[in-house]
Amino acid sequence: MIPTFIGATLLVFFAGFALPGDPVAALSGERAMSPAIRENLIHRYHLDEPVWKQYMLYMGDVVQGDLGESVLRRREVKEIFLEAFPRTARLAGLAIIIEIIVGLGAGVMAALRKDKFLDQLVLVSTTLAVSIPIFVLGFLAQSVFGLHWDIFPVGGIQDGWFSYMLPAIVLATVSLAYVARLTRATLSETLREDYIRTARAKGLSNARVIGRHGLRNALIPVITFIGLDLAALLGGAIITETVFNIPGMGLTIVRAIGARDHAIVVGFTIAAVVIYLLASLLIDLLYAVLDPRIRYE
Amino acid sequence: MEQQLREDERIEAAEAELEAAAAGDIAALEHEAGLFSDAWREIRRRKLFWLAAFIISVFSLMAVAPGLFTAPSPATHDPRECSLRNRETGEFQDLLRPSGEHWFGTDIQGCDYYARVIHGARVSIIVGIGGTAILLALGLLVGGTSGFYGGWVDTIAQRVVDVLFAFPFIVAAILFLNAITVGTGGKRTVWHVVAVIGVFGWPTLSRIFRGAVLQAKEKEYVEAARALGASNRRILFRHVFPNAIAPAIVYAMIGIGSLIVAEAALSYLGLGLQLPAISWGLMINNAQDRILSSPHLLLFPGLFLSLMVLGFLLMGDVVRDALDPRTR
Repeated sequence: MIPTFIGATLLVFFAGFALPGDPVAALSGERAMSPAIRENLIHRYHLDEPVWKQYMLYMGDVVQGDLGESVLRRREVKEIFLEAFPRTARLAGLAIIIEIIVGLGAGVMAALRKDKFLDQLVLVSTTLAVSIPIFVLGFLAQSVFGLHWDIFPVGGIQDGWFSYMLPAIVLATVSLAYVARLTRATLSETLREDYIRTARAKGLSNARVIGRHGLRNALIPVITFIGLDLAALLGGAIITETVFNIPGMGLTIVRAIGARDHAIVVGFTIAAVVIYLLASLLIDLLYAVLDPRIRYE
Repeated sequence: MEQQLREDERIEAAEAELEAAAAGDIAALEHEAGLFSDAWREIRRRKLFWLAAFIISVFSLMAVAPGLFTAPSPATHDPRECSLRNRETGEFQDLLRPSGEHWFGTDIQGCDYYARVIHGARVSIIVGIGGTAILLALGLLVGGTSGFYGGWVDTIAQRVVDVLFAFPFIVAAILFLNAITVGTGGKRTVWHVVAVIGVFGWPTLSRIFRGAVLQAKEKEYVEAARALGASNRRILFRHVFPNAIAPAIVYAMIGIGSLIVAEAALSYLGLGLQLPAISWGLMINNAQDRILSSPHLLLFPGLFLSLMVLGFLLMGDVVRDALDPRTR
């Protein structure tokens, strides 16, 4: 994991330099900057050092928890992060809960009633959910439920938890479709295994067979998917946050890219990378816990 | 009835095989070619295949020859020929609702929306197919060598894939796009976007292919071929490759839809293609402030986008179901 971390952060750091625009010049806005001040600022932000040295200095700060200062906003990146992240976390959390409840539920029901009406319904609706691009879905939801019927707030976060509901539902929709399909596929496959027949032959009730034997095995790939999804969502659901104007990680990064705010772009991306790596590590461990076959390897 | 037909065909095929074996004809027992022609027969039979094929053909035609679709429209055929005022009546003609004159209405500059939407198909198809080509090329190459040769090649390749995986896609795409357009002063063409999307999509494909190659490597026919003295390269191309490629192809086909959406998303965020390029994502971006007053601005590109993605998705599903031995 360490080499991955170093590799990813190197890439981000150098990519930050590829952003056009001079952050120092941007500080003085429209007026020209006197050369003395400019030199001072360059020296202060270590921009006169060789690139690799800047990288080392930066990483040194990062591991101590200091993500640098946003030159444009005059605030520490860490502060901005601590503000933005909880919002993204709330959104992601709500979305995952919806995903699990509706997705798993639909998937299980579809697997149990395979090829019947409910199954076809689930298949068709998940296909539609995956085909419609998330921003189209977001706008439709916004205009129908927000503006037209006035059930949910249209955007922003001033209504507390309620303002996260609609974006979470929209965000969950696509992943939910995948979860439902995956669950349906793995569960129906698992139910054809020999040990299920054995369990039924032993006289176990249907609920016990499916619940205890079928689901436990079928859910492993599904849980892996949900875990990775959560990891990705925590990195910032950029489009949903943009459509619903939620100032979380995603929206902040996009605005920072537009504003050439290197510190935020690099800092937040590194944060997203770290979150993702931690989450995958946790999933790997979880996988070992859930699937005893892995432990004995 | 259908079940019966399939059953019969299978029995027929099995009988033919037995005959061939009895006649000592080893060549007829080779399954690799059989898998694909079997699959083709399965695919052709499913209704969804024809629906998907129809949708894809319509959109491909739209991309290649938009003139065919704009011909019957009474409004101007050039998507860029816009006039705020109607030449004859002198009235303003921006943001008109769909009518007999303008089938999809007009946008804020008075452009005929129908023509614009039709022409928007080209970008999406190019990104979908071009991006997938790059994705397949890189993914198969890396996944194949990684899985087949193993060792330190595998370790290094997988580290690189890990790094790329950890990146949030949109951020990576934006940064990369900026980096490669530095030379042209920030001007982006479709091909830049294609390159970016292709380059960031291949890690998943390489993982899938690598997994399939690893599985195929363990099969008995590989061991048999080796015992017969086949060289590594022969084994790779003749035995491992055809059997491992199915999941990769399925993933790539289903992925075409995601690439199309990715381009639309980037353009929507204002970070992909820009005016005067015509992209559905860009149109949706321009539509967002006027959803209630002019819903047609969002509706038509959104509809077309969803339909195109749906077509490719269904096709991928059909191919996957046909190639998957377990759903028979």
